[in-house]
Amino acid sequence: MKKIDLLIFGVVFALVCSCGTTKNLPFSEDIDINEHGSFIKIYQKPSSISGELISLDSNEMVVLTEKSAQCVIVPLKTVKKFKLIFANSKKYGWSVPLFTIATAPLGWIAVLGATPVNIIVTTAVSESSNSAFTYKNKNISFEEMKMFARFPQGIPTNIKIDSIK
Amino acid sequence: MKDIGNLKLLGVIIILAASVQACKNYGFRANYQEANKLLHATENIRTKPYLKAHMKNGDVCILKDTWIIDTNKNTVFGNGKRFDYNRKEIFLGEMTLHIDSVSIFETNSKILKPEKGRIATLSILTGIDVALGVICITNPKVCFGSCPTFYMNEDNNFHFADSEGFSNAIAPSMEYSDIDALNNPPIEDQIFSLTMKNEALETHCVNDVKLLAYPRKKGERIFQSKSNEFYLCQNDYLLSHAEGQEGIVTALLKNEDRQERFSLADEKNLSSKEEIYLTFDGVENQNDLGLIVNFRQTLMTTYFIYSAIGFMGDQVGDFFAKIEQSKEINSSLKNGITKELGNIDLYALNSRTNEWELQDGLYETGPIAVNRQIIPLKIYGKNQQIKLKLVMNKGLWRIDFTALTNIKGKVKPLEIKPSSIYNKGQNDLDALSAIENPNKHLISMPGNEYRFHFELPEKNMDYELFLYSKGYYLEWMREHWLKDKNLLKLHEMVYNPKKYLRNETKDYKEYESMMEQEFWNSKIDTKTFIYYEKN
Repeated sequence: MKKIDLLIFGVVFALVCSCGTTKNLPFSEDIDINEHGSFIKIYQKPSSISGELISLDSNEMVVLTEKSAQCVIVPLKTVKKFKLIFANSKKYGWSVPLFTIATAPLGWIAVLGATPVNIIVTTAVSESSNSAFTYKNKNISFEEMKMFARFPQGIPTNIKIDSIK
Repeated sequence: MKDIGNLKLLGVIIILAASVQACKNYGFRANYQEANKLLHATENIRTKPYLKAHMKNGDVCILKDTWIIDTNKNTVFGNGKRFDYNRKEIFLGEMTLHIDSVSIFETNSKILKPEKGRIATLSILTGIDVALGVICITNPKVCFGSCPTFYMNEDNNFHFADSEGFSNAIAPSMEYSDIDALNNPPIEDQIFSLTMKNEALETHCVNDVKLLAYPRKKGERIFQSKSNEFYLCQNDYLLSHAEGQEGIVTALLKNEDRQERFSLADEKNLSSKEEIYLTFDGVENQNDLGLIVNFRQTLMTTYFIYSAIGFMGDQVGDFFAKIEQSKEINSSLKNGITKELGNIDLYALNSRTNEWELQDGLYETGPIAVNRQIIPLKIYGKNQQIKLKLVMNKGLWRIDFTALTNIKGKVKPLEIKPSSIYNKGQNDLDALSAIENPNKHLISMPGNEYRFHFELPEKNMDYELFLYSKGYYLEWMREHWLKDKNLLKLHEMVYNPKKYLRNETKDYKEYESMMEQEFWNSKIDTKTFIYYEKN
């Protein structure tokens, strides 16, 4: 029972904490007027790389990282797993605790079903929202990903990679 | 998952979760390296998308939907913004771009109502929660339980409670002891454990908990009577035929399967009787027969208890103080409605006089745990067919099982005190001390669970077990009950229950079907639990 309580607390905490938005990403209604590339997170060992996707060709991709605000070159053959986010989603993490608390006055009905149903559904809503404008490596090819880079045509030859901010 | 309620619940979850997941994948973006392809792709579109021109030098121009491609001049004209390669805005207004300077054109379709599925899902969920909330506010009697519940299997919910203690003791002065048959499976261990839970908004004050045990051999059972006498029995004669006002109900009463026979209250008067006729054929030994009845109440008495507290409104504290001080009020509360609603009375048909003769009655408050009790019969004559009649208040009782048995004799079970009590996995010596001391109470608050361990006298011996519990509980006042304050109705309920039951019929009938449906929608198939099978 205690484990379940902790699990629920963990899920709620994680969802509530995931309420931020990603810098330079538009909301879905402004997707057509955004001048930046999409946000990419590449899962690698020892540490992941995340930031704006600057360009991509058949061998490598360039990412302007969040941490250092500098471009890094990532060989495609080292990329096994990534997540590409092209718009910020509306956050529904608040709905998990709110709907859960709202079932408290339902007494037995809450214990028997309303609270678990509310937690399951609001968690699903929140999770679906978090991944709404996201492609994962299994959903998109590198070729298609080019469209989501700041420079879909590749970095122009007149631009030095170090000067990209 | 046979139960319709569970299927509905599952359906709601699946529909909601599916509608959430139904909003993925957007083929909204297209890139064109040639202006002609862009022209062809957008010529039939009524509202042009914004055009993003990725320039060869790394700049990007974002043009509003009024852009025009001039194939003669090989230019694109439009109104918008230009950003440098670091995406700093460098121009705003009308601009003409030479197509040769553009590396890639990009268009993006609007993503229409991306939140539609999620908003719809939360709206449906809100609707369901509000509906449940309305049910609980207008009819809070549905939503909360009463009295401590005891479980052999601590993971069970209240639908599988093996016992509920002192359901009528809603004030300290109304404290009493209660004995319930646990209908336990064969004992395999010398240590027997029970979990006591507080699953309602109440404070439980438990004065004593102990086991009553009597050794049994194969084929023997021990049943208790209403007056807590214990009978060693053998031979079961299963029901041959049963008939109520609705027709034949044999299938509902023949087996201990929690497929219960119950009726709805009378539409004109809550105090109305009904009859069920029982026939047992092939009763070979007619000596010392007893009728076993598995029964519990519907939610009717729960409704009355909560109504009474609601009628007290903001004076609930004053009234409970009066209940403590006045024996007269205390007695009226105990005997008023309970007496008017009456027992499950058992009659036997005297085959010689052809008249129905009253045998005895059964009564136990509480809608949660099933009571298993026996009524010894006084039957004269030798007849292998026994005809019985149950007379009871309409809409008050749920009956699961009836069977005849031969009583071998009266017995006195052993009393076994708890050897230890565990609270959240820890040995709670204070709890044990409170239970052992007759002047103390173990206080159990909502959500509390205590695991009682009892050491049975002999190893490798099977026992029939009963639970003895003594105490009282204090119902928590709900804010929304305050509006129900009605002292005249309270007076009528206590001092003129007959009139109250007649006048309350309309209100109760409005709640009844909904209460039952809400309560039982969450019922789980009991057949998967072996300890409800007959030994």
